[in-house]
Amino acid sequence: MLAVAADHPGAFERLVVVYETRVKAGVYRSIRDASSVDDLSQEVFLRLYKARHRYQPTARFETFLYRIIFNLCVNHTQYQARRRTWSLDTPVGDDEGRTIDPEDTRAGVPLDQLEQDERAVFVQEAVESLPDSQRRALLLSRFEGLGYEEIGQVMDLSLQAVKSLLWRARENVRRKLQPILGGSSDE
Amino acid sequence: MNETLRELLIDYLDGSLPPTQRAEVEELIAADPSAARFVSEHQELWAALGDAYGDQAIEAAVQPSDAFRARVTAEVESSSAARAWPPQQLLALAACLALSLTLFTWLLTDRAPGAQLSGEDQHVVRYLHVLQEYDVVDSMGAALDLHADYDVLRAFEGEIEG
Repeated sequence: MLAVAADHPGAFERLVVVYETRVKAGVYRSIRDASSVDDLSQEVFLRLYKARHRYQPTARFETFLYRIIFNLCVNHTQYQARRRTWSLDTPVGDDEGRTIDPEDTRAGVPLDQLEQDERAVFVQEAVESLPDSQRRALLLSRFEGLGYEEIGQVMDLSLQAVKSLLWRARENVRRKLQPILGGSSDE
Repeated sequence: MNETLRELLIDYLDGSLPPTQRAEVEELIAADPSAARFVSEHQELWAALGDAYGDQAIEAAVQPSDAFRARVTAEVESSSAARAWPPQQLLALAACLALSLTLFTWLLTDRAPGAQLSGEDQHVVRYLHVLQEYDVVDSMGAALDLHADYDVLRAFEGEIEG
């Protein structure tokens, strides 16, 4: 990133190659909408480039990067929520009024794979049902390798607030997943 | 389970404890079945999250692509190009600004009140307020036997100014 900030030729292109998958994964986990991943990830890189001269090497680059991803995804989610509210009266179906009948794409998939998929869907539903801030903190902690302080910097929260948020997120998900988790405690 | 122990176990699960403290917590987990159950449940939860959101689960949606990289590079180049003006355009802009400034100054100077008046007219403009005062005096008209001529104005000029 320092090379990008110093406008070294080719540095930004190298940064895109190295971080493309991580940025896309961060965006996808945050918004769960595959059709918007490329557009938002492109915007992340563009903002990163525009902010290159403001980058201070005192913080980890990942924290700087995830702050951009986090802000963009929060805005995107809020925008989508507003759009959904506006179009609540629109009937589900195509332009000619036919209802959409999704094709069953799971025919021929082995049974254990189906069970694993169903378990994953169950987990996703539990995570998606969390309040936005809990969900994002949980995913940042679990998948992006950020510590409490870094999550605090990304989400603009104090260390204690992050700990509390993560604890509530874990507990809420654990309770919802009780039927598929082995343990039975609910203290 | 008390809150202090719970926080310690969470820190242990999050990997935020130093190695010596980790070893202590591992001893504690081995000796306390409720702590062990708590840890194993949360480890299972972490694994379940991995199955649902891990790199393998989302692989299809985050595939790297040359097309994506080309789009990003093109977008960045076009945003940089939009900002960096070539020197010829900068010179033309500077010339336009200088011309506009000159024209504006000339218009202001030329249209200043009284700039094109003769010496006498300028004098009248200067003492316009005296003329206005004279209107009041004139309303008394004949009683004072005054005439609205230049000499009278000059006579009043000193008094009103004073």
